[in-house]
Amino acid sequence: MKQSSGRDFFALLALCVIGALLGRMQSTARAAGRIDPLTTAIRATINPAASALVQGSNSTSDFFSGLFNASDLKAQNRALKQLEIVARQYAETVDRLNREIASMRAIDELPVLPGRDKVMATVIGYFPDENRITISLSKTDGIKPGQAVVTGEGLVGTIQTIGRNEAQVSLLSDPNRKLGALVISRNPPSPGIIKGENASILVLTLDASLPVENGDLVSTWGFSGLIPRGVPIGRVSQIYTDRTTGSKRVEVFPNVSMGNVREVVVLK
Amino acid sequence: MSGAKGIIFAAVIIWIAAVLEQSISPKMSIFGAQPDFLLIVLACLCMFASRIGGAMLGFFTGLAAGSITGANLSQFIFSRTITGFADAWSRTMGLDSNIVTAAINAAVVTIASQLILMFFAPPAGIAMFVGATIGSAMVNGVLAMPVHALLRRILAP
Repeated sequence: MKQSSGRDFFALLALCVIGALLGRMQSTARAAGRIDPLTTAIRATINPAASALVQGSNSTSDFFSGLFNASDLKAQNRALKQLEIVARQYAETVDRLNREIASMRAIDELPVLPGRDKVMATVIGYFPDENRITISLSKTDGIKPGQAVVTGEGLVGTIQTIGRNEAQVSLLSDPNRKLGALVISRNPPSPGIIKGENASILVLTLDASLPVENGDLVSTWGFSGLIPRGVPIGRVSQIYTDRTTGSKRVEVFPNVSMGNVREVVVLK
Repeated sequence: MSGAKGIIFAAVIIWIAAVLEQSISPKMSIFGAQPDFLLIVLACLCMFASRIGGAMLGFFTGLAAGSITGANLSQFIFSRTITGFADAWSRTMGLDSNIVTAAINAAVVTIASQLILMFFAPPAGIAMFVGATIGSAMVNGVLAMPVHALLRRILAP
């Protein structure tokens, strides 16, 4: 019995010594920035099963949670969908306002034209079929028919009629109205006559001998005195040469997209 | 519990306890008290083991616990080996092996091993550590009852 007791204590001591050695091995490995091989081996046997068990318990927990909280989850889902719609609307509003701010900045940064005053106006009506917009200016603002209406991007059209509380503007896209225009990217600029064809294309007629290329900037001629020279109109997108008439038909993509215009300036 | 069969059985039980300790234990917190599955199986297996067997069980549960937590291996091995040895020795006191003694045994083993661990590696907040140990001892005591019943069914002659 006494011998057995001594053997047991010796075994206990031996296990404690082994434990101390393992602890020392672990500390040495840690000092070298590693994990000791025994810990690695033990974790390798335990971790896969533990991970599987965690996943299983999570799935089970989620399943029962879903089962017992189905109505709450449904309500939360509905609320989240509503929030998503509101967030999307908010983002759209922010985008629209940013575009408006950019447009206002462009108007504000319009170069000062000698002898011309800038009169701000709000677009209060847009009639694409009639190639016309209505703006918030009247006779008392000192504007006259034929004066240029612009935004930061370029020419919108010209004042057509002036009423008591509003003015009608004939848009560039109006096929019944012609304007003098210049391809100012060329030196010397190539002069021609521009008129509307549809809402997105203007047609510039040039002499066949005058140089023009796709992407060239077209601006106002300034010949009439009412519209100043150099106000951008658009960029050349297609060129056709008509040999029978000896002229070039140049399609111009307008700088100003009318659907987005909220504020304009009249150059009086 | 002896021989190769007993060793393999003990190894499997310790492995299962280690897996549960790693995966389930953190989720089973009751009023902040977490079960320690390795101490539960140590306490339950020691009721069927000799003193050397208890020490060996303590050694391997300490090794597993230290490896899982990433703490100092020697501190966990010392605390569990000494507790296992003492717990297996306590069988000579002639206590009945039933689920009530298993529960009390698990609680005592938990407190004893954690106090020895505290001696080797003093924690920052001793009061909190002691509180958590007492809570853990109670949870372990409760969980030890079914574990003991299962082990007795398998290991009893």
